[in-house]
Amino acid sequence: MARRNVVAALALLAFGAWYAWLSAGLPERHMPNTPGPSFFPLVIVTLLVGLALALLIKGIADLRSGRDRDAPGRLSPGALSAVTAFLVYLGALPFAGFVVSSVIFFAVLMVLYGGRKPLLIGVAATLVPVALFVIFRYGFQIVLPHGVLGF
Amino acid sequence: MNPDVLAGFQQSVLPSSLLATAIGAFLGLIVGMIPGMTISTGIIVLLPLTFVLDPNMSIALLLGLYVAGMTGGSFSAILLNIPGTPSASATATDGYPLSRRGEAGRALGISISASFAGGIVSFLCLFLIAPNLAEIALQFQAPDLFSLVLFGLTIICGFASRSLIKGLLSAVIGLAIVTIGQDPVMGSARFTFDQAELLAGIHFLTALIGLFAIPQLIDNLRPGLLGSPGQDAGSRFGSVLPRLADLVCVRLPALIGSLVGTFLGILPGVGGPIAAFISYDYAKKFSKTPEKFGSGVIEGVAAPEAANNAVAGGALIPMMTLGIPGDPVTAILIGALLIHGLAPGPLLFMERGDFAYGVIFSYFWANIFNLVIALAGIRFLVKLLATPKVLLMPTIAILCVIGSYALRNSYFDVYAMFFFGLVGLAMRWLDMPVVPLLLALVLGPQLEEHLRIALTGSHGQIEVFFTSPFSLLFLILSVCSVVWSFWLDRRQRNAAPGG
Repeated sequence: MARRNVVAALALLAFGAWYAWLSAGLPERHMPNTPGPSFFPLVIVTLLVGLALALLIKGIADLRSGRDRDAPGRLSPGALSAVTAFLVYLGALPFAGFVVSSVIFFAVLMVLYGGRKPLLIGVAATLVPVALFVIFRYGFQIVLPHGVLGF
Repeated sequence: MNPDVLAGFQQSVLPSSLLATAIGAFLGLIVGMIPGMTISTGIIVLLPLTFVLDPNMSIALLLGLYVAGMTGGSFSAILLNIPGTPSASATATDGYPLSRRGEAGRALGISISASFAGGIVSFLCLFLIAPNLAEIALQFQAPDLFSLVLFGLTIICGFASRSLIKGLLSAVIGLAIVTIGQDPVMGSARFTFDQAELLAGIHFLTALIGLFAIPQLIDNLRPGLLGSPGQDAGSRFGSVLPRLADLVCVRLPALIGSLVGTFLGILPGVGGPIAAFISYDYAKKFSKTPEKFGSGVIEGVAAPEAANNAVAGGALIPMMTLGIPGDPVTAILIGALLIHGLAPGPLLFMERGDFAYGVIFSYFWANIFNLVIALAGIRFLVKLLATPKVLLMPTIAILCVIGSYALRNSYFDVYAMFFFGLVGLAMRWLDMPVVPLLLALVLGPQLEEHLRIALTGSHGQIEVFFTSPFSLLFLILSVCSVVWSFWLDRRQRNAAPGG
């Protein structure tokens, strides 16, 4: 965990510096002694940098004292595949529409969650997204993403 | 009688509201008992529905789910020794041994009855305390409100984290996110990078869906969690209707649990699991046979179950009167109400007293439906424990996309939801709690607004926060909360092996 803490602290310090630079460029209020739009972000920068430094010091101290016993945490292949499938699904939504992209996405997720029966996967992956589309689009009148096919 | 009380009651007994409460309770029992599903996820899944329902029906539906979810968690704890929700962990201690002895029906009956008792006691506290607290809160000025929100934020950070630094960092990241969009006082654009979608800021519910649901979907992909845990839960059990002798036997533990749960529910951040374990401990101390606790006694089921249901009513008190969420679920409820243009807080009782009392009475009906549906439908509900994740998880994934898209009919919200999902995964990797970030998203805009209004009114004089008695009290409480959290953090680290 100590190694992760150091990485996180450095990332947060970099983010804090970028956020401070953006905050400094915000417009100021011309009334004297009144806080402008940059006031609260600058308070946040102070807190963020202070806490990130504390995390960095703690992480380095833990590393030096040999308290970093955690195995490096990595996403499992299944998790990585799910994240990738989600990304592809979101990218396909505006073009393929809700129904088509959801049917494919649902089938992929079913396989990742341990589905092994092709017939069940085919039926469920078609029925559930179509049923959700009908319920939300026509039952609740909620507009869902529609692609070139219109659904 | 206050006309708002009557109007609120009438709203809560409208057939549409009662039906929504009953459906919510039914779904809550299912959500609560399925390990891997949390009440927060259940509510997130239902959120798109609430966009099209009227506010009374929306809140009735969500309250039904909230209340029954707490009870549902005990079913899998008793039958499988797997708590459906973290709040049901203490219930498994005695519930599962009872089940192993062939007394699962008895344990389930006591669990349902104690949940009802906890819910009703906390309803009475909610009904009696909330309007009076709201009246006091109406006197608060901007400095008091700033200090109050700060207190809510600090106490939550301390409780929500195993590391104080990470808890506070999580909250600060949340505060940074809420600065995106128009500034709440002057309306000037901040951190929008000339993107029109960012002008309205990051929608709270978009972030919420991503932070909670995506990591949970990924978490459920772990090899040990695949499949359905409840395949052997359909085992036969006797009558779940509790015997009179058992009810008499658990009256004291149930009362202890109800009172402890309500009180701890009022404190932001304590939550059901802590209340359940503290109540279990008290029930054991007050018992004539404490040595039997852990081996399967009904008192050990009644106390934590009464407590975790009482927490729900307790958590509604600061939410309704001060706009401060007591736990993640009430934070989501605030978001759901904001969608309908209703901001929980002291003004809600003044401006929409009928609605505020309607919420309180809907909470009462949620407890009634929870009791009836759980007792009558438990045999059917338990069969649902065998629902395969292979169907459940992809459905939740699709509902997350529908929920985030339907907020503003915008792909931007869907992408933002996924981005926050990745943030949630990164936070999990770092063992950084998500709850402070979520609460900062809820409380952040108020915190900035009250801070800047107070400083503008005092011409930049910081003394304004120390001269008001209310503000001073909340600031002292904030300092106490941080110091206490820091002390707990140190104690935990010292107690840890090698720490």
